[in-house]
Amino acid sequence: MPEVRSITADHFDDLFLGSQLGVLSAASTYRGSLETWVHALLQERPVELVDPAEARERFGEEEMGLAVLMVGAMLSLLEYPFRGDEAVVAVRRLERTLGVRFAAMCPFNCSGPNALVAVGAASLLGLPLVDCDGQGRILPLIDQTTFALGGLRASPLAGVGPWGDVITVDSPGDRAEEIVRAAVSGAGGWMLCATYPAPVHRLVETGIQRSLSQRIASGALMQTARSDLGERLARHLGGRLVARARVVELSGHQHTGLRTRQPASPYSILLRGLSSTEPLIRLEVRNEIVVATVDGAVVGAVPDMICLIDPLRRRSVELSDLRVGQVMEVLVLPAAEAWRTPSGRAMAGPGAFGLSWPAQPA
Amino acid sequence: MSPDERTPTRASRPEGRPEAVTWGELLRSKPMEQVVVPVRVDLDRDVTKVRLISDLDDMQACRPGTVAVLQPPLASAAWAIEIAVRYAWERSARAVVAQVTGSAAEAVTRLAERLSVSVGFHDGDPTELALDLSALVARPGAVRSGLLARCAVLISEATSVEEVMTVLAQELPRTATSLRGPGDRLLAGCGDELPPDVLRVPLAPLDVEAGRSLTAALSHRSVAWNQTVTRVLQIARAQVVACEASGRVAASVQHEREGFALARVLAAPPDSGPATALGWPLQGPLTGAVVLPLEEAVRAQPAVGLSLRAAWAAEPVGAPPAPYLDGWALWAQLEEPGADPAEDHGRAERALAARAERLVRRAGLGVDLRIGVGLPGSLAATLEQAMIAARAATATGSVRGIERFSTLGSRELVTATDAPHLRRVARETLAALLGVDDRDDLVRTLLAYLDCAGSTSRAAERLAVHRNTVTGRLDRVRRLGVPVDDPDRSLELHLLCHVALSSGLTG
Amino acid sequence: MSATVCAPVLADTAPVAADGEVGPVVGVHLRRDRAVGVRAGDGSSRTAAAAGSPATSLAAVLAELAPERCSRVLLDLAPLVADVLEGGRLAAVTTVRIAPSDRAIGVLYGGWPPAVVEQVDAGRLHVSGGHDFHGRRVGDVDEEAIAAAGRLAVQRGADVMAVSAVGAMIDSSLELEVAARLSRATGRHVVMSHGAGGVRHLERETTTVLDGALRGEVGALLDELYDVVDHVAPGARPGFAAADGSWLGREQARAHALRLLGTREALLVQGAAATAGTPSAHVLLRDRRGLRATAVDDGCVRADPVRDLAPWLPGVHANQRHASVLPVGPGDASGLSPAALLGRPVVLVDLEPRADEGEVPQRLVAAGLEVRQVAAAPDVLLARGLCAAVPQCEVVTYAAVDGPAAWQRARDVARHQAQAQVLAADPRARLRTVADQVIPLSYLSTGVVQVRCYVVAEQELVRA
Repeated sequence: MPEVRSITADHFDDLFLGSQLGVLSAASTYRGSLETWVHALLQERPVELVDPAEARERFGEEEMGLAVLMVGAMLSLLEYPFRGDEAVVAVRRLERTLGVRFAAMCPFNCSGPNALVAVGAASLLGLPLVDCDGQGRILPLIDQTTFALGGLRASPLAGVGPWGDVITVDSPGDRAEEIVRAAVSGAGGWMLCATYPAPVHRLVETGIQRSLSQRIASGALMQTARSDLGERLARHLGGRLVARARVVELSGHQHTGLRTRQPASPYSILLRGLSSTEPLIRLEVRNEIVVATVDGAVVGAVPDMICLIDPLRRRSVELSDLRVGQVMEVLVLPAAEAWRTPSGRAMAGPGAFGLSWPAQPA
Repeated sequence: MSPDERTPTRASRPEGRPEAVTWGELLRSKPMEQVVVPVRVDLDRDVTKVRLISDLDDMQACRPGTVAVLQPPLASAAWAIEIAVRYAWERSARAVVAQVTGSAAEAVTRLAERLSVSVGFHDGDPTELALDLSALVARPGAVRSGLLARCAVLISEATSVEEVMTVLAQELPRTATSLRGPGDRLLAGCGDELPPDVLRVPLAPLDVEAGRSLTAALSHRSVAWNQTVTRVLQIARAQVVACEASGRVAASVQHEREGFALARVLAAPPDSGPATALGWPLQGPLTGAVVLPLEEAVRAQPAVGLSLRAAWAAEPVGAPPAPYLDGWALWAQLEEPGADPAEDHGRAERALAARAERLVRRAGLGVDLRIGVGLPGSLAATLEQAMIAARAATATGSVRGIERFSTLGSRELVTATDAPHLRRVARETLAALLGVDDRDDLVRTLLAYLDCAGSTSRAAERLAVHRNTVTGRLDRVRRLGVPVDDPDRSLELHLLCHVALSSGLTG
Repeated sequence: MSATVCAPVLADTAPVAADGEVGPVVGVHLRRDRAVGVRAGDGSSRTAAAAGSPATSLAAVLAELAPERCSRVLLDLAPLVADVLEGGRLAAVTTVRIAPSDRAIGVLYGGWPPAVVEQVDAGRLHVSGGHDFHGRRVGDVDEEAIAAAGRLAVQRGADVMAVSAVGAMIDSSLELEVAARLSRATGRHVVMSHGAGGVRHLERETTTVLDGALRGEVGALLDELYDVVDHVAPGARPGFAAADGSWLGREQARAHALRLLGTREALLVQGAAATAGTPSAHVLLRDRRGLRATAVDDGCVRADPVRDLAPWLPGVHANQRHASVLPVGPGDASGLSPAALLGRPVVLVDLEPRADEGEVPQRLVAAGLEVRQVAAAPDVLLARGLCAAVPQCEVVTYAAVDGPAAWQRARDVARHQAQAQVLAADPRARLRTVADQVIPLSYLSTGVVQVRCYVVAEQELVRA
C-alpha cells in the first residue's frame, strides 16, 4: 500500500468503506448527499495528509491544531443536512475565541461520518490533515479520547447546529460533554464541533497515529479482497476472526447496567456460530458493540473494536440493515496502545459503559 | 472438565460433619417454589453455599457447589447472566438464579443447556431468596424434614397405588422407586433392574399378600439420604396397602352384586331390575360362555372371580364375568343379523369364545381355566349349554381349553353330565371287560362296532385293523359276558363305553 | 451431487386470494414496442409475446393469456417510465424547500442531465422553517414566501408544484398547510415529500420532484393500460409493479410514479425464486458484469431504501425502495463466500447464455449448498416475477414522544399507515406485520424515536 500524502477523490471509496469498520449505529453504508458532497469537495480540492512523524518538523511548537466532529444522531444529519459551511463557521469561531489561526486539523475519529466530516472540513478550510485521531475507533463521548488521556481538553469548543445555532463552550471543569450533549438536543439533533484546540505536536503525541491512512488501507483491502474478507482484515489489523455466525435474534432491552454517562439504548444481537459446535454468540450493543461473548466467555470487549462484516457484501453493516438469518463475520480488532493502560481502560473499557466482569485469564 | 472432577467425592467428607443438602433436595424446598428452573443438572450433588452476587467479580470467588443468586442489575441483564453461567461452569458452581423472562431467558437457557449448568429464573426478591436458601443449606435437616412433610401430605392424598408411585417418582429426585412382588416381580413404578444395594421396605406385616416390598434405587448414597428415602417409603407403605384394600373391598362388593343380579335374571326373567341397573345387555338372542376352573377345589373361589373381573376391566365389553354356579358367566348380544342365521350364530359363538379366551389369558392366574360356549338363545338356556360345554372341557381326558356346545359329540355330552355317578355304573357293569389286560383295545373295538351300527368292516376301517381282528376281539368281548348283541341294552352299553374310555377306566 | 435445473413450467406459484380462491395471475412486461406475458397460478404457466405499442401489444398478450377468468393482471411499466424520463416528456415543477437555510450540501438538480433540468425546473424557492427533532415547528410560515412561490409557478408555467420540508417525517402538517395554500393560489397539483417518504431529506426532495415530473405522462399511460385490461380481461384487477418487487394500485402508482422505475432486478429475482419453487432463497444473477447477489424472504425481495438513479439520472440519489442487489465479484464466483449463503436454497440465474455454466453450481454444491439453476429468457422471468409480486409497505417515520408509554401510539400510527398502503393495492389482502419496532435516538434527549413498520400481504404460495 503506497503511502497516502494527499487524499483525493480517488481515495474516497476506500475512505468511505474503511471508515465504516466497527461502526454499527452511526454507520451510513448507503451513499447519499453527504458522501456525494465530500467526494465533490475532494475533486475540487484534495486534502494534504501529514504523517505524524513529519508533523514534528513541519509544525512549530506554538502552531495550533484542532479536531472536528459531528456530535449527535446520524439519523438527524440525514434529515437536517449540512448547509456546507458549518466547519468553516465553527473553526473560525474557535479561532476568534482563542485569538489564533489553526495550522492543521485532525479527525476526532476516523469512524463513520466523522472521517468524511474531517476530510470535508480540511478541504473546505484548505488546512492540512494530520494522520492521527483521538479515538482510533468510535466512542460516544467527546471526552472519551486519548487526547483527554494525554491531558488535553475538549473545550474551548465551538459548535454549529442545523438551524444555524452556534455555541461556544469554555468549561474549566471539563464538563464540555454534558453541555454539548444538552446543546445538541436543543439545536435539533446534531452539531458540527471544532474541538480540542491544542498545539499540533500535542495532538500528535496524544492521538492515535496513522489511523486515517489505516482506514484508507482497510477500505482498499475491502474493495480488493474477494473472499475471506474477515480473516484478511483481521490479519491486516492484528486482530482475529472470532466467529462466522448466523443472526438469530435482534432485541432491544431495558437498561441493565450501572448508571453511566452513556447515551445508549441497550441492544443485543444473538448469533449462532457456523462451526461444528454451533456456539452461541452474543454481541451487546451500546450504540456500538461493546462486548462479544461466545458461550458466555468474553472474547472481545471495549476498548477493542468489535466489527461485523457481511461476507456477502464484503463490507460492514449498519444496525438497521441487520436481519435475522444473515451470516456475519465477527472480528475483534485490538485497541490502540493508549487504551490498554489502566487509565485508558477506565475511560473506554466496559466499566465506562456500565458493564464489568473480572479480567479473563489469558 | 468432566463433572466428576469438579466436586470432591463424598468419600472425602470428614466423618461427623452433617451431610450437605443436595441440589435436588434444595430444588424441592419451599423457597425454590417461586423459581422456574428450566435446566436442572447435578441434582444429587452437594450445595455447599448460597451466594448473593452483585458483581461479576463475586462470581469469580464462587467455590464449587455454590448456588449463585444474582442481584440487579446483573440479574436482569442477559449478557451478564451468560457470563455468570460461564463462570459457574468453569468453577463447578451448582446453579445460577437470575431474573429475566422472555427471549432473554430463552437465550440464557440455551447456553445453560449447552454447558450443563442449572439455571433458574424468578421475579421475587433475590436477597430474600438467597437468605432462605442459605438457611436451608446451613441446616440440611430442615430440608429433609420439609421433604418428609411434603411427601406425607402428597401420599396421603393419593387414592391409588399408581398415584402413590407417581408421588414417589416426583418427590425423590434421581431415585427409581417401585413396588415389587415375590421374586422382585414388578407390580408398579419404575421397571429398572434392581441394583444389589437397593433400599427395601417390606409391606409386611400390614400386607395381606406375602413377599411384597417398596424399593428405591438411589443414584447416590449417604446415610442421611438413605434415612430420608426409607422414611418416605415407610409413609408410602401404609398408603399402598390401604389403597389396595379399599380397591379390593369395592371390587368384591361389586362382584357379589353382579352374582346376585344374574341369579335374579335367571330365576325370574321379567324381574331384571338389578341387572338393568347394572346396564347389562339382556335383549334379543344372547350367546353365553362359562369360565370354569379345571381344579374342582378352586371352583367358585371369589379370588378367581375378582381376578377375572380385573382382567375384564382391560376390555370392558358386555357384562363383566358374574358368578354362575361354580364358574363365571359371560354373554353377548347377537350382532346385526345377516342372511343366514346359522352363520350368525357361528360368528357369535366364535367371537364370544375368542373374547373369553383373551379374558382368561389376561387374568394370568396360573390356574387352569376352561371355557364353554352355549348356543344363541335365552340367557338361561345359553348359560346352561355353556356350563355343559365347560364341564366337557374340564372332563378328564379333554385336551382342549374351550368347548362349544354346538360341536359337542355324544361322548362329550355324556361326560358333561354327572360324571362320577356314571363312572361308578360303568365300572360295575363292565367289570369283566375292564379286568383283562387288553381292555383298552377291547373297549375301543366295541365302541367302534356300536358307533358303526354293527358293521364289522366299517369298524375295522375306523380302527385301521383287519376285519378278522375286529370279529376276533368281539368274540372275546362276548365271551366275557358283555351283551353285545342285545338290542335292549345296546344304548346303555354304548354310553358306558364312552364313559369308560373318557374316564380313563381302560388306562 | 448436482444443481437442480428449473424451467418455469416445472414449478408454479401464485398468490391465494383472501377468499381462499387460487387466482390465476397474468404478468405482462411492457416495452415501447412489445409486450411479454406469463400466466401463472392455474398450472399452465403459459407465455405470450406481441409486438406493437404498449396498449396494442398488451391487448394482444392478454387476449392470448386471459381469455378465461384471471384474478389480476400485473403490469411492469419500468421501461415505459424510463422512456418518459429520458424522452423529454416530463412535467415542469416548481419546488418549495422548507428548511433552516437556503443552502445545503445537496443542491436540487445538481449533477442532473441538463436536458432533464431544462424540462423539470420551473423555479426553486426556499422558505425558512420546518419541524425540529422535538416535533416543534421552527418559526412562523412566511406567507409572503408562499405567495411568491405561487407566483413563480404561474410565471414559469409549472405543471406541478413540489413541497419538501425538513422534519416532515415527524410532522407533516406544515407540508399539508403550504400545499393547500399553493393549490388554492395556483390551481396546480402539489406533491409533498412526506408522501414520498424516506428518512433523508435531500433524497426525499429529489423523489418528490421526480414523482411530480412523471405524474402527468405516467398517469395517462396508467389510465390507457387500465382501460385495456378492463376491456380485454374484465373482472381482473390491474396492478403495477414497483422497484421493490411489490405492486401498486393505479392511484398509488400515479402518486409515486418513480417507484415504477427500475423494477428489472426485483422482478427477475422474484421470477427466479418462483420458478425454483422456493419462497425464501439467496438469488445469484449472473451476466457479463459478474455475479450479483440478493435474497428473497417469504416471497419478498430484500430491499434497500436509497437508490442511485444511474443510468437514467447518473449520480442522483432518491428514496426508492428497490431490490438490494450486491455485486459479489466476477462470474466465476471466486469472490463469493459460500458460508454466507448457507441455510437457504441458492437460485442461480444466467441472464446470458454461457459456455461454462456448470462451474459455479459445482463450486457451490461442493460447499454444501442446495443450488437450483433457473433457465429462462429474462423477459419471461420478469413476467413470472410479476405474477409472484406481493403488495407490501415499509413505513419509516419519526415521532417525538414522552417516553416508552407513548411508543405504542407511534407504533400503531405507523402500522396503520403501512396497512392502509397495502390495502390500497389489494383490498382483499390478508395483512402480516413483518417488522414493527420503535428505536429511540438515544443520543438525543428530545424523546424522538424512529418507528419502522413493514407490512406485507400474506401470500400462500401454491405449487400447481
